[in-house]
Amino acid sequence: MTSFEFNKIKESINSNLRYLDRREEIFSKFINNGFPNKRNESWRYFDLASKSKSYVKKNISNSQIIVENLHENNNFYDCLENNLSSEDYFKPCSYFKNESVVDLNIACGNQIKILDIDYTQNDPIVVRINYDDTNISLPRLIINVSDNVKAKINYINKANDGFLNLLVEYNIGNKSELNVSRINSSQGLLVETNLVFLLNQSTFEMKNLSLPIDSSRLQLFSNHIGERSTCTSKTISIPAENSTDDILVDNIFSESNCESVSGVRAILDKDSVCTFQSMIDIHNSVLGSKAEQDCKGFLLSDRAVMNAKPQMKIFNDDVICKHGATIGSLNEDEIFYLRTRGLDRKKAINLILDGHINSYIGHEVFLKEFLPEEYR
Amino acid sequence: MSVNLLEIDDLHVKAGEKEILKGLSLSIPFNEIHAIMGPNGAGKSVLSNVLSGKEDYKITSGKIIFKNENITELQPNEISNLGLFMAFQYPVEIPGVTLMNFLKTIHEANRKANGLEVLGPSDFLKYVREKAGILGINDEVLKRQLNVGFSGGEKKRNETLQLLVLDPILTILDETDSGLDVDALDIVSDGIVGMKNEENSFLVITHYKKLLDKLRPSKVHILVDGRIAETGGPDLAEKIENEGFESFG
Repeated sequence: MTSFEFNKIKESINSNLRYLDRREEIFSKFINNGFPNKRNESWRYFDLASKSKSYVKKNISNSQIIVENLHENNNFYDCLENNLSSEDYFKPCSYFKNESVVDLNIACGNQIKILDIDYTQNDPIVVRINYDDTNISLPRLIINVSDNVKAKINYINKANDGFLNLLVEYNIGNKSELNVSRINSSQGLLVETNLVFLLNQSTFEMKNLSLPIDSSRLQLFSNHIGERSTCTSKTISIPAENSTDDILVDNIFSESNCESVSGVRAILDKDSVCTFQSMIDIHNSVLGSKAEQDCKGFLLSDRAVMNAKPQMKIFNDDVICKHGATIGSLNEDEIFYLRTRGLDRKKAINLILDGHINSYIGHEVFLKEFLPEEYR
Repeated sequence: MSVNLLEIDDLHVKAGEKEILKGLSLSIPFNEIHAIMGPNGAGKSVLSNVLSGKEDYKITSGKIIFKNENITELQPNEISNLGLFMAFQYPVEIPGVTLMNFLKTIHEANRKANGLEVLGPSDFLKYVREKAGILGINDEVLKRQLNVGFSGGEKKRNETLQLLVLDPILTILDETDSGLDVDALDIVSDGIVGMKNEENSFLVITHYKKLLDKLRPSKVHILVDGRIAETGGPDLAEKIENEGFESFG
């Protein structure tokens, strides 16, 4: 791609902005790197450079970010970039060296929303992301959870069209707990980057039901910057025919006695593709870490593809780590067993898959409502 | 029209290129328990799998008539819904599916296939608890995932529970006694004896006389090298216990 192709996007950078120089600098870096493609990306994701080509010449438009069921003492508001300190504004850029989707969002995004959860609330907060335009959208959502607070978010990403490049930051306070049940039912091109910062004894858990109809990528980077923090991310991936679902999870252990669990269960039919790459990164001074990552891919068609790459970078011996990947068709003995009990082949397969979903994410009522009929 | 519940006529079955069943014939009337004994590799488990419709085997000739219907070409679920049940030697584990949910699913499928009304949740719960009670299975077991973490004996007891819930017409017990301790063997065999009536029959595949002592079969068939080598009464099992299968080779 040439810088010319991004002219329209560049026009969105308002010359009156407070951090204009830095934003233009980041934009130049983005132009130099471009979106990742099959040649320069480290693994088998869909080719974002090629997929995004038609969108980058279009205008930037806002997504609809709706928050419902919020306790009166918790707050959701628009944030102009001038309201964020430089440190907060460019926090994602200081974290990533080369993440061009994040660079583009920081350089050109004009939509920042903040959700401050200062009080524990038992009822789930509902967050909806809607994008119905055919353009490109670069929203940023910052979710701050104060110390000693517990909350649950039911999160629905429904990008119906266009290219949604969404950046979500989760800042989880000391001894706080945030559970996110995420639905991805996007029909356009979606790249969602989640950046999770975990302070002391904090917990972040994401149960993710991913049902993309085009090309979708979720990248979740968890940063254990406080001791005894825990991050869990479990994805059920059921991409539609000819759809691709990329899941990247990076767990970075900067402090001791932290735990992470990450994994995917993918149900892949027809020409669908799921790619799971997970990294456990444990720094050398960090003690007592526990981490596990695994994936299971159920291939229901000869043409379906599952890519799995569990990785570990461990620089300390005081660690318990597990990793594994199983990909294959369903066990015919299990299917036969169920058929001898009167279930036809399709029902037998659905029951087995339903069991795998249940045993992985539990009976999560909110997620179950979005499951395809056959797995409910 | 045959008076027999099951008629197997000159059945030849191959697994790959190897012929396993070589002209097996067998008849089971209503209200009888029949036993099949035989050495390892004789074709006992292949027979039970073929009767249940497993597609890994090729029926090269012969036919299987069940309830006057030729089931030789039928699918496993079609055979099951006609009323044939196989209790597996090695029941599989299905993670994430509770035993109760599984029983409900298969009971519903069976009722629907036979044009019967599906039981409501409370009636079904009552029905299952009654059947589970016969086998000493409590509610906690019903909440567990199907066969996951079950001991060998628990799996066999679970197979028997499915049998009681589906109430089939013909039951094949494929080495159900293996892995059962003495007490569990008593419970399972009592459950089977309690089920036997004028409208059903049982085919018991076993290596051991102990189960047959409890079930008291009408006939014992000796299966050797893919054929029924001899048929007799319960005393035939006694002979096998004392002399082995060598004289039938």
